[in-house]
Amino acid sequence: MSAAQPLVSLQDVHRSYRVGPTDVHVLRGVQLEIHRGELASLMGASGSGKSTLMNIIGMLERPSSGDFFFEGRDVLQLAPDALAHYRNQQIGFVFQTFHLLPRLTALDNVGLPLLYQDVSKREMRRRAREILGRVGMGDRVDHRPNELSGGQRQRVAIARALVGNPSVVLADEPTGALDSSVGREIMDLFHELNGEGVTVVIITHDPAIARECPRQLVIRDGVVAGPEQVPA
Amino acid sequence: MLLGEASRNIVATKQRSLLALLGIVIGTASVIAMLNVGSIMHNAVLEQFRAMGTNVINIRQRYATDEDDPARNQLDLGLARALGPALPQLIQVAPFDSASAQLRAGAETQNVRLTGATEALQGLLRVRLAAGRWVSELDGVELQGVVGSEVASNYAAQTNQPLEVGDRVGLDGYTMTVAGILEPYPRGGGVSPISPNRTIFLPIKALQRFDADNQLEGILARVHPQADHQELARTIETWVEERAPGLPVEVNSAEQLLANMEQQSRMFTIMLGAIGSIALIVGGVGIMNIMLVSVTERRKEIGIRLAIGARNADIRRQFLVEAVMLCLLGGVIGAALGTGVAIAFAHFTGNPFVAAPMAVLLGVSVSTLTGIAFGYYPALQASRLDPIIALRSE
Ligand SMILES: Nc1ncnc2c1ncn2[C@@H]1O[C@H](COP(=O)(O)OP(=O)(O)OP(=O)(O)O)[C@@H](O)[C@H]1O
Ligand SMILES: [Mg+2]
Repeated sequence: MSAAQPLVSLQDVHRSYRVGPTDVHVLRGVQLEIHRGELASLMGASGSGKSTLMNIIGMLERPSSGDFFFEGRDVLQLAPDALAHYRNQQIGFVFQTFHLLPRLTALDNVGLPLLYQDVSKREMRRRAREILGRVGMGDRVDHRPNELSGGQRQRVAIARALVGNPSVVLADEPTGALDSSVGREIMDLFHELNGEGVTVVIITHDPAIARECPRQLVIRDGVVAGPEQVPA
Repeated sequence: MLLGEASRNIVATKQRSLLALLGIVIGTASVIAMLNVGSIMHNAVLEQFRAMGTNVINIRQRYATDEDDPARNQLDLGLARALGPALPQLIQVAPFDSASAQLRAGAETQNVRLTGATEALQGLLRVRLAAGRWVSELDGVELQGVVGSEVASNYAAQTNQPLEVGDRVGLDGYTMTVAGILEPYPRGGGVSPISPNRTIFLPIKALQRFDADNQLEGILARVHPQADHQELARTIETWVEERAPGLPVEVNSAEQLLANMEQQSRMFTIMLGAIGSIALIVGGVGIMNIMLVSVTERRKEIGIRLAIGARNADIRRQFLVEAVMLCLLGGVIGAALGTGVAIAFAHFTGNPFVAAPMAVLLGVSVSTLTGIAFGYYPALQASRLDPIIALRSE
């Protein structure tokens, strides 16, 4: 056991889906610990269960069996409202297709997580503006998502993930929908944020991106393996 | 933020929203119109009796009895004189008769009602004199007239000089002396068929010059406040039957008239209430439908909100607020429409518009309640979405 308590600790996590008469066994005993300040990549074939694992860590989905501790707290014992509170305070999601609300401006999209906290509207806007500045979108606060490029949308989505000061940012193929130069900028942003102490987990299909992360995880046959399996 | 977003979503789907609103608009409008019309009618009824009070009855002969029958009975002064002493429930008894005549005014004339009155009629009608005096027993058959306010002002307009007490004016072939002039009389005389403003009151015996027969137009009587009007009517009919067999009389009481009017307005209220409830239910189902469609269309949005930490209650509240806002919008439009209908009703029935104080409040709360009742299920559906499935849907 390491001296510092891990941020995320998964033990023997299984997840299966019932599809028709058969069970699809996606996760088959995942052992995984993630510590504060880490920058980790997660690779695996399509359908191997990367998003499933990410959704479990993000408390959007429950394992079929196993244990999940977040900062030592038994997550699986938490009531739905407590889970929502955790998602709101501790987790920042970034999705491949951004998932911004089309009718809201960049500022309001970024402020959205604070809507579900006791934060005044003024404070919400102030913090959203500040974070947008930090991801280089300070001059686009009043734009709606359809008035922004893909890379800009992803920056807004990252700002939204960061606005609540989460313990960990979970990014599911954040560069998958972007061309490589824009993907590069987004990766630079993640490195920068990690440099400031934010814990980041990035799912990717791109070995180059995986390799630039200090910790590289691979999911295969329903379990998470260490960095030695990363394809060269 | 919540309200702002809700209104943005409503605006974004305005065509569909407007259609669903129609039911709410009609429902609320009916409720508001119903309440206002009720209060207008109520007021109109009260207005009818304001001048004379409600404790007045009118006895009249239903049809003329056979003239060729020498023993025939009719509603005449003799009967009227005997009525008061016989029935202590009657405080005041005023027989009256009527005719019509041409009042000459310079080169012109006007048609006037003539009412043959006794001294008691003034107190029964509660008419007030602007000048002069009321008719007196002592006038006998003399043409001493008390002129209604409209008759007097018409006369003044025709001759360019005001009518004054002591003036002598031409009435058909006769000359009448103006004994008194009345103040304007409030609209509506309850059970009384007399409209004092358009009438010249003459001593009841003097009226015989214009109306030769002895049959009275009616007998007005003020009733003891504690008397039961229905019972009194039966008592009078029995009394008349004993004294003057075969005389067909009818007793109209203010209470009975009031009851009839109230029943009419109640029918109207029930009808509008039924239309209103049906429209509100139809509207509510419409709201439920568009909210369910909206929930399905916005599954991804719901997934995103859940992922960034919205609780189920937050999602539920968001959709409930939207439904209520939609209904409130319909409620406000309906309130305006319903008030308009009530104003039009007041206009066409010739009654003053009296706003029912609770109408708008009730209309707004009814539409809010509709929003909550029919928006709750879709909101619940939204809050129960599985975030993963919601996120995966496009
Ligand atoms: N709700 C579900 N019902 C049934 N099967 C599911 C469900 N969610 C995921 N799966 C299955 O679980 C497996 C893993 O899915 P997951 O989305 O985690 O894969 P992934 O590694 O993220 O793949 P990709 O790289 O294509 O995004 C897939 O075979 C998928 O079909
Ligand atoms: Mg995936």
